[in-house]
Formats: sequence, C-alpha cells, structure tokens
Amino acid sequence: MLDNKFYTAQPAGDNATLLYQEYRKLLLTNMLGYLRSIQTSLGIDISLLIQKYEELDSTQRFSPAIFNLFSKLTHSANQGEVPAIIDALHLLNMLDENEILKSEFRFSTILTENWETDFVNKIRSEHIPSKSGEKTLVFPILSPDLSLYQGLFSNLKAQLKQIDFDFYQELESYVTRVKLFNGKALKAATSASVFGAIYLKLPPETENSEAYFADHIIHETSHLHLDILLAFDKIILNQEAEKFQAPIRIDPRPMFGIFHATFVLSRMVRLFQRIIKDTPKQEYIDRLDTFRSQFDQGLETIEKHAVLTENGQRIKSSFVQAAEI
Amino acid sequence: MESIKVEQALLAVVKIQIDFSPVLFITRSMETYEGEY
Repeated sequence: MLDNKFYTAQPAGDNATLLYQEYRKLLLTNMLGYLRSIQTSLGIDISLLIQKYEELDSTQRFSPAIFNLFSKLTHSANQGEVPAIIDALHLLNMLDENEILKSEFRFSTILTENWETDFVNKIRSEHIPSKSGEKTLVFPILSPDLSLYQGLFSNLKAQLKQIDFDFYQELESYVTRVKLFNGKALKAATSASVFGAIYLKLPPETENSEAYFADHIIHETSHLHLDILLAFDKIILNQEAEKFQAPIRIDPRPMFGIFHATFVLSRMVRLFQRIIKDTPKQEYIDRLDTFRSQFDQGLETIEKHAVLTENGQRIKSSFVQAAEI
Repeated sequence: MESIKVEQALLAVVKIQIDFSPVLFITRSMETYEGEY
C-alpha cells in the first residue's frame, strides 16, 4: 500500500524514485507468487528460477524487458494456458540479470531489443479510429542517424529541469527508452507491459518539432506515473464495458481511459503554461488552447460519470491544482 | 531425468487453474496500453 499523500496529479518530485522502487518490489512479489503457484499447480521444479528472482535487486532500475515477461507470465497464468506458461517460464529463465538491469537511458528506433516484439505487434494489430482516418502503421526507421531528434529530446529535458523540477524527476526516474518510429495514425504510446519505454512517431513536417516532442514526451511520462499509482489502488471502479466521450481520442473509451487522459491533460496544461512563460511561441500557445479545452471536457465526464475509490477521489480533487489554473 | 519426464507429461495438459491472485492491481494496466491517435 502507498501512503494517501501519493494519490495526486501533482508531479512526484523527489518521491518519483521511491514510488518506482515500490513498484518494482510489487512486481517481484507478484512474480514470485505466480512462480510458486505455477510450480505447485504443474508439479514441476522451477526452484532455481524462483531463487533467481528472489535474489534480484529491486533497488536498481529495471529494463522494460522484465515488465514484458511479467506481463506474459501473468496473462498466461490468469488464462491457465499451459503452453504459454511454459514459454513465459523459459523466457524468464533465459533473461539474464544484466538484461534485467539494463536501464541506462537509450534513444533509438523500434525493434532493436528482444522485449519489444510483443508490444509492437500489439500496437500494429489493434484497429483504433484515428483523427486522420488512417490505418495504424508502425515501422522502424532505417536511417542510423537520429541525432537531430536526440538533440530535441535533450533540449526538452534541459528545459523541463529548469521550469518544473518535480516533473523532470518523473522523466528522469521512469523513462529508460525513447523509441522513435515511422508510421501513420498512432503518434505515441506507453504501456505498463513495457514500463519505461516511450514509443513516439517521427514529428510530421507540418508540425513544429520542439512543440511536438514537448507535447508527447510530457504526455507519455505522465501515463507512466499513473500506471504506478494504478498498481497500488484500483482508483477507477467503473465497468470496462461502460464507454464515454473521450477528451483526446475520437473513439468512446472506458472511464479507465478517460481518467488516464484527464490526468495527463492536467500536466499538459501545467507544463505548457510554464513552457510558454519560458518560450512564448505560437506553436505552444495553440497546443495549450487545445489541452485546456480537452482537460475541461475530461473533467466534466469524470465529474458526471466516474465511480472512484477514495484515492481516485484524491487524484480527481488535485487535477485543477496540478494544472495550475 | 525425472524432472524431464514431468515436463513431458505436461504435453497432455492444455489448461490449468493457477491458484494465485495478484497482490493489489499490478496486472490491470499491463493488459492494455495508452496510445495517442
């Protein structure tokens, strides 16, 4: 359990490191629970595998690889699918400690590491309506020189460090990969199943690249923070089948998605206001106008329809203050 | 050899009930992703 004070949309500041460590501990506790139960249910000896994960140092940051395998393990175990469970156990056996702890930041294109395949296949295969009306395409970038974009990311980080150190600490603590891709429809994505990785489409020629990076990096980092909070408290109690008008996407979404979007938008409004004070460019002002209106819409839907836990209420109550409006 | 025989016997098993419920809600967000379209 986390202390109630962590259930807020306000950027985590110094607490980001602690929260991420608690999240890794929770992951290991659950992984060991699943492994012991699988050992008993299948009558197999996986004591060496269990020992390997008992000895794993959760004080160190993890690579997205272990989140991906945990996701595979829990999905197959929850479904009770023996062939998939055996595959997941094998992959957990094969994953060496260096790979698990390979968490130094990397900026690259997609599909450069083994753990990415499942996630890339997932985002490629889901047909979600886009504003452009295009079908989702996600490809690796063949050109080896991404220095222009890496420079944009570094400049953005430097600016965020100056203007909102509390948010910067989330970015610095959680984000271990930025994965650029070439594609259509999907602009950016994150998932707890590859925690720490931000997937980002190349900026379109029609958009200001600096504003584009600021928009999506702040957005996706905020999803990662909420993913951690959602591991410790259910927060949203609405049924998945209930769908509502969404503030950003055009497809109706469950309250889980509306809450995620509104949480993120409270930070978009906050950070873009601060960026505009620092760099008063029209590209940022235009985006802020959109975020403000999307934030209001998300908040209204939550006020009308959300069924939240006490901690969910705490987060909802903090939205306006976090947005600094 | 005995442990390999146990594994071979699993070839006959497709479905099984795993008696473990996650501590808290860590698996919920892993079933999905947040994408901007």
